[in-house]
Amino acid sequence: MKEIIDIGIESLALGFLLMIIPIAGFIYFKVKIVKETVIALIRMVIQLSLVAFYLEYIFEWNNVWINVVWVCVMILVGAFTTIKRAGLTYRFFILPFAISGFISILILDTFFLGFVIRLDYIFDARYFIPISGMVLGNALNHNIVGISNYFNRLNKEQDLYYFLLVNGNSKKNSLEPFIRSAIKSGLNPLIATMSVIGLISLPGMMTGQILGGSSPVVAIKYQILIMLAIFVGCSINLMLSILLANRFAFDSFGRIKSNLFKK
Amino acid sequence: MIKCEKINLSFPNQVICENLSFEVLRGESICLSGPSGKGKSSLLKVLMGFLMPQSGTIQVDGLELNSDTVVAIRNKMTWLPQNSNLPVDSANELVGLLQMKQEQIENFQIFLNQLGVQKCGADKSFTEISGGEKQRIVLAACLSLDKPIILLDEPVSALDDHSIELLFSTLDSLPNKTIVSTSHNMKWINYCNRRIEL
Repeated sequence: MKEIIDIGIESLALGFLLMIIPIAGFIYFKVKIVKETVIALIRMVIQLSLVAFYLEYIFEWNNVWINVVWVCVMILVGAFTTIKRAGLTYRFFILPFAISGFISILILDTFFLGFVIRLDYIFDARYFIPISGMVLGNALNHNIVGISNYFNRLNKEQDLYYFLLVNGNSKKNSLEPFIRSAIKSGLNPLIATMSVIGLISLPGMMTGQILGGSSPVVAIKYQILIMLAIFVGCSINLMLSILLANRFAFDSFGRIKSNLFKK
Repeated sequence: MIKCEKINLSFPNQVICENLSFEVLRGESICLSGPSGKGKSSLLKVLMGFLMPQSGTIQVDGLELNSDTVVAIRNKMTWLPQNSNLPVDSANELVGLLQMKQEQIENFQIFLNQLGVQKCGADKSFTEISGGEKQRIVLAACLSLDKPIILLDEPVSALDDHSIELLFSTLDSLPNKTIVSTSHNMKWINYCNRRIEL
């Protein structure tokens, strides 16, 4: 097995030179996202550097409580980000989204780390944190798409919801078409990714493992497992988020609360 | 019977009604009329519990509208929204969304015939048919649910004279239905037993 080549700070900085191309394109087409891109880049560097620093210690301590708190923080950050990106108000949605994230991670980690990989110590930081993070990170993107679709459609197509509600349907049945559409829009990109994985894309985790010295066969087995975990995690998280959010989004008359959206 | 007492409804910068009281008897048809933007559709939404008036009470068959009774009251109603501008692609999708039972589907076909839609093709995508056809399909779906109270928001806004006549004869064939509608079409206003001007 070849030893992995470390990347020097100068080489890392060299990589940033490539950013000149998209930024030049943004400026040429007058797309006003240069500032956001630069801020996002700076944030990425700071956040990942901090994570590298923290993970060094977290892996070294490998303490169940620290690991659990770390994952809970990731769940909370995910819930806050979903709410912000979907343009919703925090007070109605933080609880349902955090609970959904927590339940999906509980199911996935128990199943994949406990029964599939059969770890002796399920909270082993080396598995528990990256796998939870991978699932939560992916669930975040798909949750934002699905949740935004759900509440935007409900808001714009209120007449359809009210039409179904009056014309004989229960609230649950009246919401079904909106839930179907949200789940489809949230998970369709993931289904598309799964169907072409390996053909037109080599996923980050697998590439990372191969670069890290693992054999491609082991890397692929992990990748298959992680794709399953991501798909299951995203599905559970999105469906639960919608179901739990429904408990807070309607008043006692079955009306969509007017203050769900950030002004 | 529908009984509205001292309804006050207003939006920021717009008063819809002040101390509005009216009754609609079983089997009676009334039309709320007035200029566009006066809040006729909003009043229908008040009857269904989708809009809350600032004050006043609504009773339907002796039940006062509140959060405990709203489901029972809505179960007595069917509602044709304004312009039938629902994001639905076909009559078949509409049947599925309303989760119609077999008997209701059969009634739906009968009403489509009576309203003269069958020839146009109820299977067609709503993007291929006119606004009038779409309005009649949604109306046929509402009528097939066989509810005692029919709320119609601008039911003839997209209909030609012939289709309006077909609608009249269809509604005439339904006994004991209470109709609360909104319109500024004189034919429709004259068809109703009473008119309430907003």
